[in-house]
Amino acid sequence: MLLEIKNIKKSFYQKTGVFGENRSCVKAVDNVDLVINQGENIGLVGESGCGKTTLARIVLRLLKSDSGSILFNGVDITKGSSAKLKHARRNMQMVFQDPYSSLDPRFTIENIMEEGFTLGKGEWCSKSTRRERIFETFAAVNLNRDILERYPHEFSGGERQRIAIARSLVLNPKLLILDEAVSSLDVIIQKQIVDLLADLRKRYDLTYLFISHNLKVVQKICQKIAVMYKGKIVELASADDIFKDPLHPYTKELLAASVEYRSVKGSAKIEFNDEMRLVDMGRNHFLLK
Amino acid sequence: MNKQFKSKSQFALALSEFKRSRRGIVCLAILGILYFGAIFADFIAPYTYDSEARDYSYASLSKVHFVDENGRFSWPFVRELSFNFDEYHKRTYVEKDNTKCYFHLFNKGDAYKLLGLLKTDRHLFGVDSPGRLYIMGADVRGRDIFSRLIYGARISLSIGLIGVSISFTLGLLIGGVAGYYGGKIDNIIMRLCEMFMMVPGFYLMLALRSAVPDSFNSFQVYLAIVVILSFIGWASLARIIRGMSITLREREYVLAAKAAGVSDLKIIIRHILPHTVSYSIVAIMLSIPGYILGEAALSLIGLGIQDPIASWGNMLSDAMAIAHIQMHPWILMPGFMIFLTVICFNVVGDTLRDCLDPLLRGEVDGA
Repeated sequence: MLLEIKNIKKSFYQKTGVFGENRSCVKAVDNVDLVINQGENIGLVGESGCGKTTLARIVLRLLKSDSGSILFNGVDITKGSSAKLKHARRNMQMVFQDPYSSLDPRFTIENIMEEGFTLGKGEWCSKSTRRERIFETFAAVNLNRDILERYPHEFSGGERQRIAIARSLVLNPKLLILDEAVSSLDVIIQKQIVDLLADLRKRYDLTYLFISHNLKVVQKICQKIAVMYKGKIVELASADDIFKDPLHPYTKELLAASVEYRSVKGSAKIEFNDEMRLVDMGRNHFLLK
Repeated sequence: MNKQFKSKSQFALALSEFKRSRRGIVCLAILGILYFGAIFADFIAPYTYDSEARDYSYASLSKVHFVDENGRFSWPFVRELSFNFDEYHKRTYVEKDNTKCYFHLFNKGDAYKLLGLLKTDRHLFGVDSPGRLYIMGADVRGRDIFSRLIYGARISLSIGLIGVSISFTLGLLIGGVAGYYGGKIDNIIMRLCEMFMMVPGFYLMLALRSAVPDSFNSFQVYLAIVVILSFIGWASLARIIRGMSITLREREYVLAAKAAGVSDLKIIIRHILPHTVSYSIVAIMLSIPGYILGEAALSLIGLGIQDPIASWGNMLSDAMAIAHIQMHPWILMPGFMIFLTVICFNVVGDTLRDCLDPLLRGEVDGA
């Protein structure tokens, strides 16, 4: 078990009224459990605003969850010292959605890459070894060596995303969280990046948590798919099962909309209550009931 | 990826834009000349700031002669002056005949140390003693106003720079921290800022000034004034920087840095504050005049730099009586210098804002 997410909850409050006396609460992530095994890519799909990105940020502790725990290699990183968190972050990196804003426009590529080493300064203590490592990752993501002095705005979207991937790879992480990493790219570049990710996975023995609303891309990369709706995981199964035999009405709707551009009648209202749990429907096909 | 295309940072682009604005360049040049004069004040000024000549009290601009008494062209000279009183008991100066004090470049005068290193007594220009050269007239003790203006520039111009650098360091860091962390820290810091902004600046300045002991020497007073002025200035900047850093902290590169394990302070300094820099540069340029005016105001009412040390403010205090202005209008020169400096800083700031505007827009509200 590489990563285990237990009962994660996160709500955002919004103050309304003249003196902020009414607090409305949005449950972004509501009691989510998820297990990621080494080498088993998981795709997290769902519509915008369903809490996918929030969950990813909670996993990396970029956001604090309200309750629940996150175990990385069996170590709970939500409690205790920052050393544990640092260790976990070394092995867990994130690639962000928008390659135009995930690279600081004032930094040269070299600075950006150097920043990736922050937690590994002990291991790569000299500049030349770091430089070697940077070139190694550049080669892995098909980037030229001579770009170190340049600024991000000189690159195309696909190149930038490859730089962002290279940055997240320098410390040799085990888990890579890809938050809509291909969504903002055009289809041809998307294909290139998806192929690249498949290649990197074999080469570096990576595990992906792939967040997307694009089911086709997820199908290509992931063995397992978790469908998220309104902060809850409603269905979790192998990718094939999700596509061939969707059980939850929301999954059906999502598939219909994204694959066939068709809407399903009568699925507009999906109600939850707190007692609902993911239930195994056979063959490791979990459904929220 | 074109190799010949040289990487140009966005700042270089803004700078080339600035070079095209004639107004901005002229004002920047004037400021350059003023600061250059302030640095080499000892050399450029014909007299030191405290070189008195009581016989020349309120002497007007020296008359430089190019023609001698025989009607021939001559090397320029000035004559010594003697004075009588008119019916209002005002001094009237008459040139003494047969006295010729020749004008010299690199004249020998009072000894000083150039830049605090080189001991010398040469000044850029001057006349043979006992004659005195007043190119902008003399003040009540016969001190050369031109020389005192240049010496005064040292204080008046440096106070702006030092004050701004202190208050901006404070404002940027405090604002950055408040915006980045948000929540309680933000709340406490912002209420503190409001406390400072609530008190009218000038009265806060007076109150703080009264807390400075009388026993301070002039250098300590100078430092105290700098600290007082920057103490007042940081709050408004901190508020703006806080607002910017709230939007900047949501940027993905900040999250990426956080995920890479970069410490909070480093993120603020490396990823958040640099993005406020185009705003800050403009704000710095536009707030320097405030410091110059603040010092001038304190010195004008006698609470700032004390005589005989020259600052534009305390030189102006001579001009508080209307009668003096009427009879010796040249004592208004320091006011003109303040005016010129403030205008120049404002124009440079405005031009910079125009040049950085695309950057400003791109950085704060755009992606």
